Amino acid sequence: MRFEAYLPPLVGFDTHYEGYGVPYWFLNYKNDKLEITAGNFYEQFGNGMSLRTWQEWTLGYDNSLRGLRVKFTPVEGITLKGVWGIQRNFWEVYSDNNRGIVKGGDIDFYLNDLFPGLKNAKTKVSFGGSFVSDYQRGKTTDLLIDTLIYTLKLPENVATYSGRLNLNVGGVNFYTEYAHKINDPSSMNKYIYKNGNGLFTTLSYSQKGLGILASAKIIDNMSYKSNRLVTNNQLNINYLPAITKQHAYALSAMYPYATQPTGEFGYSGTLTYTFKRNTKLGGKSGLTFAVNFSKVNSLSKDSIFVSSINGMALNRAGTTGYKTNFFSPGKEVYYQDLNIEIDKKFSKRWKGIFTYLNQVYNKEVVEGHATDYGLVHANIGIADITCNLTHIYSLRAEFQGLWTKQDKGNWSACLFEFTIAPKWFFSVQDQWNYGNPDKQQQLHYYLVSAGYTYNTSRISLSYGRQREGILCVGGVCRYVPAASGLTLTVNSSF
Amino acid sequence: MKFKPLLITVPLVVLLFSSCDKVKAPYALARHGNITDTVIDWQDTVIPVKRVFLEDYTGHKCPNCPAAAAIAHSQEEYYHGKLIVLAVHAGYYAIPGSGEFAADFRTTAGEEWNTDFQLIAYPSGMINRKEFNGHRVLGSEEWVTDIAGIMDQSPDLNMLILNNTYDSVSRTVNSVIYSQFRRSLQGSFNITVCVVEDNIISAQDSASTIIHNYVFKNVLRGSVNGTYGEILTASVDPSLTYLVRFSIPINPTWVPENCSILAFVSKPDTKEIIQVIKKKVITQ
Repeated sequence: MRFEAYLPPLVGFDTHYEGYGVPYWFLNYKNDKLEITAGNFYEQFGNGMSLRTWQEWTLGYDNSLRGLRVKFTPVEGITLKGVWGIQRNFWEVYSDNNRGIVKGGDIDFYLNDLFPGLKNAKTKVSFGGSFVSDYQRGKTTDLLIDTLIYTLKLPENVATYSGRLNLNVGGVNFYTEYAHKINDPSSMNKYIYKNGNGLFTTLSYSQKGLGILASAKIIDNMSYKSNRLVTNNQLNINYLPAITKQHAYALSAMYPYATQPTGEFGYSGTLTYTFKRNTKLGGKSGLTFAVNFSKVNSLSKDSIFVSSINGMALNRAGTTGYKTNFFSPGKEVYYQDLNIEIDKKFSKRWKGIFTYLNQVYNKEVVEGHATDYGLVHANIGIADITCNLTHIYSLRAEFQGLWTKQDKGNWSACLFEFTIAPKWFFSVQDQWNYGNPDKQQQLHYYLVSAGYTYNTSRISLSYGRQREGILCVGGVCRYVPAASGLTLTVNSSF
Repeated sequence: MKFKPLLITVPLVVLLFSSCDKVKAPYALARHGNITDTVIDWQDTVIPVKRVFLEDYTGHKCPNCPAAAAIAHSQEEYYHGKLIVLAVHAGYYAIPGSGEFAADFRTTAGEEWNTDFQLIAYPSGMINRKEFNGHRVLGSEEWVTDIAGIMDQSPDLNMLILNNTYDSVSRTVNSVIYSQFRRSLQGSFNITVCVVEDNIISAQDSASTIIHNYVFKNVLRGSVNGTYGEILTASVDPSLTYLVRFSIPINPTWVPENCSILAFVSKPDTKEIIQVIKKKVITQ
């Protein structure tokens, strides 16, 4: 079981978390073939396009199911799962129709385990399928469309099904998953009745010193929540995987991408290569080079005929919304990221990571603004240099610059971190928005931190000013407001 | 534990088919408002006609009522659809009796109108619920003159029932009623929708005898949307076409082929009816 208290929630967390209690508990029975969980659980079918419940505390996100889960392995190579439950929604107690009941089934076949003759085959094959349904009571709802009240027919049971395949031959791995959702009019899709579709595919190759990864994703009306009225991050039943790179440095993470469930067309590729030691580029210690490119566009959508009076319309409530041929990217750029990273160890004492990024960020779409923001084009350079003074003492420095003519203009950032291994660290950092067109807003966001680690416990203290921004994990994001203050963090595992 | 595929397959198939509601178009129905799914060219295809509404308050035990019904029927035929007649069985003479007078043709709406408009003598009637010479309730001898007096007036409102669709399995008729004001009128307007049945054969008291197989025409079977209907618009806009949709159950004792949908638009304050329309549930 897990106890949580928000007295009140940290700045940037949803204020609905205020309170305390035990939102997560479970009873579990397990033998060789059967596992039964009653209570709360996290579960994922495939890569999550039909169902994924998970928690991520940096986002303040938790959509665990409370109910029953059964996992059954009748024979080696086949895994069956069944779930039934109600999702967590902050501290809201489930009552009649304040959210839906989620039920689903999933099956996985691992051919190499199923057929003994394939056990040691070089080619590994697995495939599976899922079916998930959300029941939310209510066959009609009244909705204002243009100045008129319409009565909309609602599906009480909204189903999603998906199929997936994974092939592995030597160093090559191919994974693909397709999901289909039936009509699901909701606040997220502005009450259109079009079926949803999602396709996620990755192809990768790896061998010693070389890694190649290509992935593509098409999302078409795939928001799937257990309450059709909700528009924030809560009560997602499914998860739409991110294909853009998640950056860790302060300025490279300034413009992160949030998955657009109403429609997007994206692809990405990553090449990682390590130049061996004692080569021209590798030098004495080798050099790792990585380049990543990702781009996400809108999905091409065509208007549909609504009526003689309304003519053609796009995304009109009470209709199927639009036409798309699914494999057509739209012209609007949502996000683009080219980043090159060089990781080099110069000597036993010195090593560095040097990164260049070129990003295009559609602030209106990603952050959900109405208009007037347009595309942000940013160039970012980062140097992360570590000097091991002794085998105990090390000093790390980050120098970052972000240059853009849009949004809040140019930024610079630097960090110095002194570590006394394995227990202490001290750091000081500053982010300076020196290029802000509003001179009053050319602020410094400084932060001083110190931490101490003892066995499996870590305590850290920081004081400073946090800049406003968007924090994303796996394509799910939350807004972080600007704030100043003291932060105490204690982690302990036992 | 032995693997039994049926144990897995059957629940999965049940889950699959019980957990997926495919909604059929149309997904959204405008309850009230200007038309968004049909265009009606009122100017070129609809001849503006002011139909007059005659309510004949009657009862099967009322000896003088067949004569009044005959007047109403002859006027109805004379005006070829421009006069809509509704026989409202209400009041003392409509109370069911014994034997062949056991039939009860009364309705909630009819009884309330009977009370509210203070009908005390039968047969009596109202023409568009309008006052003639200071009286709203009129004797049957006044009907011919008063109907003729307003018959040729220009209508304030166009009304259409384009098509009723009747489902014989559920015994339900779906009806969409369109209205367009021909000029800007002050105040709000209500629409009242009723079911009317023709050719009901039952006993009727008459001045000299009992007519055992009397054919009752235009009998009010009930109001679909309350005694005084519901608001059509609070503010008239002549550029709009207003529509109302109804799904109306047809009682098992009624003959759908003999039933019609009757709708009228009235002012809530004065109760005066400005337009009326009637259409059979099953059209040939």
